Amino acid sequence: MSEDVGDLLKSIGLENLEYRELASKSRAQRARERLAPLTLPPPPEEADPAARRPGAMLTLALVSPLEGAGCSTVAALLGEALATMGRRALVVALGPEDSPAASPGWALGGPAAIARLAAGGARRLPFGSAAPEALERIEGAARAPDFLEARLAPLRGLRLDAVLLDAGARATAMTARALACAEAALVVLAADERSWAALPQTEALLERRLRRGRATARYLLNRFDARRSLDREVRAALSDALGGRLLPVAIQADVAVSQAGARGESLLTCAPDSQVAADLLAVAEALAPLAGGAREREGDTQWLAGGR
Amino acid sequence: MAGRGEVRGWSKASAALLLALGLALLAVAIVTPLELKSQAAVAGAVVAASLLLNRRPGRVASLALVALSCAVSARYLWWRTTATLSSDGTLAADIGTALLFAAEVYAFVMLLLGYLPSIAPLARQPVPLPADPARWPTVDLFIPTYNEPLEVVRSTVLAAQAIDWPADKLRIYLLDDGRRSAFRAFAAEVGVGYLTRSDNVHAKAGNLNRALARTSGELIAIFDCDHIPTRGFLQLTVGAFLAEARLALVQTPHHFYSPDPFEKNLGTFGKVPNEGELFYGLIQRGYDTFDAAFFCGSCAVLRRSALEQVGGIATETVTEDAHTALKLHRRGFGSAYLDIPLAAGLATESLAAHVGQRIRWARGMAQIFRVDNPLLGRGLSVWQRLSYLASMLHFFSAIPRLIFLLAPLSYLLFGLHIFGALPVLAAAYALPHLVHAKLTAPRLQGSFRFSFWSEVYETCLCWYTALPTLLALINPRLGKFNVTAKGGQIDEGYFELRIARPYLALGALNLAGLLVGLYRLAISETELDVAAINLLWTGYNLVILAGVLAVAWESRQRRRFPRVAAALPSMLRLAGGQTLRCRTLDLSKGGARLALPSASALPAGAQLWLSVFAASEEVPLPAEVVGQQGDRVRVRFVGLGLEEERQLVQVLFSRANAWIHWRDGRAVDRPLAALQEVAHHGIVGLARFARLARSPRAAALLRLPAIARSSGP
Repeated sequence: MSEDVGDLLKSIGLENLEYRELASKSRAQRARERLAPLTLPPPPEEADPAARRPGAMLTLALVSPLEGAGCSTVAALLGEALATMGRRALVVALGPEDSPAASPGWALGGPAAIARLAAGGARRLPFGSAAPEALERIEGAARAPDFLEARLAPLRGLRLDAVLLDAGARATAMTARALACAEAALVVLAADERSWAALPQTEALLERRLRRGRATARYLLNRFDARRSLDREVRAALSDALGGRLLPVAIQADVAVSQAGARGESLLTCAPDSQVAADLLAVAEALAPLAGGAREREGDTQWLAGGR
Repeated sequence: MAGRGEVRGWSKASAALLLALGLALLAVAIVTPLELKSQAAVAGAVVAASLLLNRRPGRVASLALVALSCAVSARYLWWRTTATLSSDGTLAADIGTALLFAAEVYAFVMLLLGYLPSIAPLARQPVPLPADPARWPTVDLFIPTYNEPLEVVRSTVLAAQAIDWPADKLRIYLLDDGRRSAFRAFAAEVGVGYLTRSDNVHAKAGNLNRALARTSGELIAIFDCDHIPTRGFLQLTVGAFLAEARLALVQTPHHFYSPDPFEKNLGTFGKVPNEGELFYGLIQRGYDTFDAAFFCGSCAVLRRSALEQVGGIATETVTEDAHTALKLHRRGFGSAYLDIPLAAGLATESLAAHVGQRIRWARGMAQIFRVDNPLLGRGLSVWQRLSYLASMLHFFSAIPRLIFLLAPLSYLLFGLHIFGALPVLAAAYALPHLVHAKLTAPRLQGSFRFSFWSEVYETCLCWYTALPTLLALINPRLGKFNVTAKGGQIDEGYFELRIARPYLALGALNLAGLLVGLYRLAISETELDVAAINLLWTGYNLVILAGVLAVAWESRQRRRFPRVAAALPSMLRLAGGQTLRCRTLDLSKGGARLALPSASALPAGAQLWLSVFAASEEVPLPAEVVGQQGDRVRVRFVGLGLEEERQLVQVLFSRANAWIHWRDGRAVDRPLAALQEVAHHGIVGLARFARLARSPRAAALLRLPAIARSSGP
C-alpha cells in the first residue's frame, strides 16, 4: 500500500480497510502491455518465518540476470552503507574480475587470511580469480554442494552482522551455490527491456536455487532515471508483476558513483547529500535490523524474516 | 416476561415523571423574578458552577453546560419580555425598543438552534466496498463550469482521472456552460466527456440537469471546477450507497488550499479556523445525527434514481444544493456527511468576491425559507425541520447584527432609553446570559470557530445580505445565480472601499457615540451606569468593526498558483548528472520551495529536474532555480507537457492524504486571546489608515471594485 493511502487510513482509524490502488494498477498494466508479453509463475508462497533466527548473521546473495546492471557496485556500496550504519558487513566478491592478486585471497589464503582481513577493517573480500585456470578450478570445485557453505562457515566465528555474496551477473555454479547458502537474495536490475525480458528466467533461477524460495528474494532497480519513459515503464511493469517484491526504493543514476569509484573513495563520504547515498542507506536500513544481533523491526525487513 | 415488561413500563413512567418535574422546576427558575442582590447572587453561583463544570471533560458536562446556558438565557429573555419593554414614551424610543428586543429574540433562537448540532455530532466512518470491484457501481463525475479559466479546470479534470475506481465504471464529464472551444479541445485531448448546451437556463442546476439527462451512471459525483478530488474520494464515499438503499447523498467537506480573504488579508491562514470550518467541521456532523446533512453543491456523491424522483437538481432557488437535499429528505431519502477532506478547492480570493458569494447563499436560503419552508409540508422529522430552520435562519442575521451595531448610539447620541431597566439589574440578568454563551460555545465549537470571530464574519456581510434576504422573503423570484470568481491574482494591495464604506460609516457613528458619551460623562450630563454600559457596548462594536475594516485591506496576491504546504521527499537532478536529495516545503503548479540537506550552491537560472517522491511514484519535473537562501531553494517549473502536468497534479492534489492533516497543530480557542487577536487586527488595520493619509498614492490604494455578481459555491 502506498504511504499516502496508509497514512489516510491510519488517520481515520481504518487501517484494515481494503483499498484498491486501481489508477496506479491500471497505469502499470498499460506499461506492461507496452513491453514484451511475459509468462510469469504465480506469486510465491510466503517463506517460513521460523526458518530464520532473528539476529543471526545475515547472508544475502546479490545477483543480476544480465551484465551491466551494476550488481558488484551495489554490493560494494551496500556494504559501505551497512558499515556507515555501524554494522559489521563483509562483501564477498565471487566474480572472476575480483583478482586475488590485489590482496591475499580467501580461497588461497584460507581462514587465517579472512580473519586477518576482517581484523584489518576490510569490507570487501575478493574471492574469485581472473586467471582462467584458477577460475576453472574454482568453478569446478563450486559444483560440490557444500563448497561455499564450508568456506563461509569460518565467518560465523568473526561476529559479522552481514555477509553480502556478490554473485554477479553470471548464472554459474558459483551463483547457484551463493543462492543455495543465502538466506535471501537481492536481484539487481537495470530499468530496461532486457531485464524485463529476463524476468521469467530470473524467477526460475530463484525458485530453483534460493534456499527458502522466491519469497525471500527482492528486486532492486539500479541506475534508475525517471526522466526516461522506459525506466518508468519498466518500473511500473515490474511493480505490477512482482508486487511488493520490487523494493520501493530504486538506486538513482548518478555520476557521483563512478566518480567516487574512479577516485577509490567512498561514495557516502564524498557525496553524502546525493540521492543515491540516501537510496543506499534506505536499502541498508531495510537490511540492518536483521543483520546480526539487531532489533527486529516491522515493515520492509519482513521479507528477510520470511514474510512477503 | 410480564414482570420485566411491567418494570420497564414503570421505569419509563418514572423517567417521564422526572422529566416533567425537571421541566416544571426549570420553568419556575426561568420565570421567578428576583431582586437585584438575589439575582446577582444566583447568577454568580450559576456562573461559578459552570466554570467548575467546564473543567470536567466529557459529554455529560457539555450537555449540562448547554442546559445551563439555555436556562440562563431563557431567564434573561423572560425578564426582558416581562420587565424591560418600556421606553421613554417617544416613538423613536418605542421603535428602538422593539427592534432591539426583536434582535435579541432572534439571537436567543439562534443560540438554541446553534446548540442543536453541537450536542451529538456524528463521527461517520466510510463503509467498506465489496471485495470484488465488479460489484461497484458506475459513477458519472460531473465538473460544471461556466466562465472559469481553463487553467483552474485542468487540475480538477486531471485529478478526477487519477481517482482509484475501475476505469470502465467511471465516466468523467466536463459540463461547459460557456461553450468554449478550448474546453472542448482539452476534454478531447485528455479523454473525458464534454457536454454543453445552447442556453444557460437555471445556471449550474440547469447545467447539471442537462448532463443527468444525457448520462446513465448509477451515482453522480459533482465537483465544482476548482474542487480537486483526491484519489481516494470514491472508495471512501461510495460504500455507504451499497449499505443503505435509501441513501441519496454523501457530502464531504469543502476544504480550501488557498486562503480566503479573511485569512489572506489578516494573515491567519492555518492559525484561526476559517469561516467554513464550523459548518463543515461540526454543524454538518450534527445535522447528520438527525439525517439532515445537506448537499453543498460540490465534493459530493448523489444517487441518480433518487435525484430523478425529485426532478433532478432543484431550480427554484439560487441555492440549488440545499434545496435539492431538502426535496430528497422530504421524499424519505437519507443523507450522510463524511467529515474527511477528500477534495480541495480555491477560496474566493477577494473580499468583494466573498461578499458576492455570500449574498447568493443568503438570498437562496431565504428563497427556500419562503417557497419550501422546512417547518411546513410533509416528509421531514422534527429534527430535520429544526436543522434546516437553523441553516436558513442563520442567513437572516444581518438585520439583528446591524441593530446591535447601532443600538448603543440611541442613548449615547440621542439620549434615548430603549432598554427599560436599571443598568445594574440589566447587567445582573444579561451578563450571565452572555458569559454562559461565551463559556459554552468554545467548549462545543472551539476547534472550529474561535470566539468573537463569528461577529467579524457576520458583520462583514451584514450590510450586504440584509436587503437581499428581506427582498427574497418578499419576492422569492428576485435575483439570479452569480458565479464566484476563482483563481485570480491581485497585483497590488489596496483598500476595498466599496465593501468597506458602510462599515466605515458604522465605525464613524460608533466612534462619535463613544466620544460624545465620554464627553457627556465628563461634564456629568449623563447617568454613569447607563453611559458605562453603552460605552462598553459601542467600544466592543468598534473592535469588531475595526477587524472588519482590517479585512478590507486587500493584500496582494501575485502568485498565479497558490502554494500547498507539503513535506515530500524529493531529489534534484543537476545538469552535470549529480543528484541532490531534498524535500519540498511547499509546492504549486508553478514551482516549489525546497529544503536541501546543506547549503549547496545552486545558481539562479540553473536548469535541473526536480523529482518528487509521492504515492510510491517518482515524478520528474523540468525546472530552473529562481533563488536560494542558505539551504532553501526556490525552483520554477519550465515547459511542462501534459503528462508532466498530470503527474504534478497527482503529487499536489491527488494524494489520498493530501488534506488529512490540515488541522494538525491548530491552537484551541481561548476566548480572551481571540478577542485580543481581533482587536490587534483592528488596530493594525486602523494604523494603515493613518499611513494612508500620509501616502502620496492614497487615491490609488482606495478602490471601488464591483461586488461579484456573476457560478460556483
